[in-house]
Amino acid sequence: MKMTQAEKIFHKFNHVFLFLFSFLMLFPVWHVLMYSLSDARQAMGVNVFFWPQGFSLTAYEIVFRNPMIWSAYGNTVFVVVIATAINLLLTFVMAYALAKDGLRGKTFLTFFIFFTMIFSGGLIPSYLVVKSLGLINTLFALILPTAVNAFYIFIVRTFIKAIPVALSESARIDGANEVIILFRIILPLSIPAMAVIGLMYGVGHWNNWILALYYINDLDKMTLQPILRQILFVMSSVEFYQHDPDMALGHAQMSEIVKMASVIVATLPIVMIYPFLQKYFVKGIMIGAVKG
Amino acid sequence: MYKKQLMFVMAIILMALSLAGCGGNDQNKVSSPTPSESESKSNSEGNKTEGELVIYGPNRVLPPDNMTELFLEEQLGMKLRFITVTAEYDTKLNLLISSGDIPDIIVDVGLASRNRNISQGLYMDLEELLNKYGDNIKAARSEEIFDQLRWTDGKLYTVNGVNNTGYAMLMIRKNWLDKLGLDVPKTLDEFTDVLKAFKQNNLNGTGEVIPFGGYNGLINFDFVFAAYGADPFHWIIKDNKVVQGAVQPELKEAIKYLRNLYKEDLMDKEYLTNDRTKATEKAGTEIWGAWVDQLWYVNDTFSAYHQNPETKLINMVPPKGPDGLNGYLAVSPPFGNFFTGISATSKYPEMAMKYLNLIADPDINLRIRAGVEGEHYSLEKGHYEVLGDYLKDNNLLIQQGITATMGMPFLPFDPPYIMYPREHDEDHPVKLQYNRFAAFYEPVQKIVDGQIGMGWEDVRDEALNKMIMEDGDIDAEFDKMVKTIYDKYRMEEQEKLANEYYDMMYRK
Repeated sequence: MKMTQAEKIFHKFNHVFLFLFSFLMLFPVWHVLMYSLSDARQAMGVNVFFWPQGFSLTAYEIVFRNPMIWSAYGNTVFVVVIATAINLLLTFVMAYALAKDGLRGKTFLTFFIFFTMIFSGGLIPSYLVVKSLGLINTLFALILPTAVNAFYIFIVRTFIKAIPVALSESARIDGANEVIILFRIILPLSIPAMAVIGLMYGVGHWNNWILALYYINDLDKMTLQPILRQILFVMSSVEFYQHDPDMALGHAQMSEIVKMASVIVATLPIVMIYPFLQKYFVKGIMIGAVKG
Repeated sequence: MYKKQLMFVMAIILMALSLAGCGGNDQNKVSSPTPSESESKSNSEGNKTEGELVIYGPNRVLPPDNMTELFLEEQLGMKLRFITVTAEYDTKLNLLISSGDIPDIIVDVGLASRNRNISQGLYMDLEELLNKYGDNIKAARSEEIFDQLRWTDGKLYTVNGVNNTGYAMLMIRKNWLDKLGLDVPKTLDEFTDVLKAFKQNNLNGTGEVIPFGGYNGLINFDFVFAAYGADPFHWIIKDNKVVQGAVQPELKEAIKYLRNLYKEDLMDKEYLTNDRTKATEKAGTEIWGAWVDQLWYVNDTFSAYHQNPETKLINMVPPKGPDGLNGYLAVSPPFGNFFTGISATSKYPEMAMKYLNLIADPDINLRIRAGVEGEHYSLEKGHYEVLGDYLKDNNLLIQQGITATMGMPFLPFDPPYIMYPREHDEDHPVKLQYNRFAAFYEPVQKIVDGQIGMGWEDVRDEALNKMIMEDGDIDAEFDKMVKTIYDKYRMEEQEKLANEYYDMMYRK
């Protein structure tokens, strides 16, 4: 269909606008990356730049030469993988149960789960519960207490509800039990929702540092974010040089590029995984929306 | 209708269950039994103590099984475990206390935290343990500091974790003293005589000698102020009250001494305008005979200072004033911002005190901050250099972090300091610096914010420098300065606020 002049102009305007918008979204990330690859002194004082100011890998050297960084990476990957798997399993099973009609006590259960979204036990009771389970100073303290998120249960429940009942009924007629229906019929159809929820869970676990701070005491069990924070903290500690402006400035300059490098180190793995989940993310982005 | 009633009942039950979790132990306070005389159980191998000493400290950490930790365990004869956090420090401590996992040694950050924990009975009285095992800790502190640290009940619950005494080093050319057959001066009068001797003898061969150099303005003379019991930069304790040091009459005598140096051409008249570069040049080319340097510069400027291979610099003990006072002015509150206590429920209070005392030992302190000479650092011809990667990677962690993290009464033995150890230490070097000490570094917020009194420091600086450089009656000029500060800058109101603040923070 031929476009009118107005439509062509509008089309071009759309392209320009979206290009600018994309640039605004991407440039801060690019800036951080370029800053992290710059020389500390040259980068300071320059507000915006598209290329590294004096290429240098010093910041990454400082980050990665910390002996705890690799164990922290390993711990974080372990937590993310195991926790996300547990999260998805429990969320999916619970959501399916709540999506089914005829489940006894469904209303109470729904209310009970919803109640936890509004009220929580508080930090100290949570800590005491984790301690009583013998999880303090173990990686499972970061996995089990956050095994399921109430909000995500409802999201997946809404998605599952949209799957035609006839599919499960016909499977039942063919002799399938609930487990087979759940994992061979419902689950494949729920992959977009599960991918989105999985990504959210995974990113949440990757970025989580406060639980590690509270529950983990030994450094060899610490995850990535607290270790990065520690690196940053040491680099930012100028109080030792409070009477020496030159050394304080040098330290401050270095801390800036280390900060940027820490951001890249912390986010790069997630950014690398995202393209593989993107198609599901796009499909699943509208889950939970009101269907006509 | 039925569903609504059911929902209502369920809500009540859930609320009740939630509130039930808030109950339990009626005690708000941590139980504080009298400290037990815990016997150190030695195993068959001799002086090893079973169990684990848990130390809770802020901020910086060391890698597991690091050199420092292993060394300390060997020295102490007991396993150590450090719990350190870089954020949410108080929250984590509260969690540990709530769960009953109270560490043996706790480092409090800030007075407010310390006061709160003491009032909740978290710590035990340290007096007896200090007297038994804390000789190093006591050697590094004056009685005034302990008095300041005592609680309202008169007991001593914490020692100060950071004893930040400033980093000034009064450098003097030992080779010049040797050439002139002079001893290192011990009093201000002797110091003046030495400066005169430097002036009169052409020791650098150029004829241009400035006996006493300076830069950074008035702070350059802080050892002179300390010798007269004056402190123009801080709020200080005098007669059990907080007063502003700049308006105290002792300052007049110090100014008179400095004017004398100025008039007799014994000091660098460009002390106000000299910067670091100029200072390094004048010190390096042997124009200056003595000067005040800063700890963290000396390593970097070593080469510049030692252009002449015969140069021998020493870090002399600050000379005493007419009343026998000497030292440097404190640059932060004498008890710093970290307070170390032993928990009231610790199973190993004696070992905890032994540990604190161990790391207060200057040699141990140096060992854990710098490592082993020849292995971790070299000190060739007095020039300090880090060897290998361990300290390069962990240098900052060790130098800075070990102070607070390890719950250690900090001593200013930074590795570069070892190049110029103080000569003729009659007193412990740290105690030396607290003949007059600042009540606190940052007084009442209103004053800090400039809500009252903003700008009075400029009046002080201008007036004091004029008194040093110009002719005139110092007593009259000083009194005029004081009157201006009181009248125009509401010093009386500042003093009132400062005392209220001090009462609130330290006297409870």
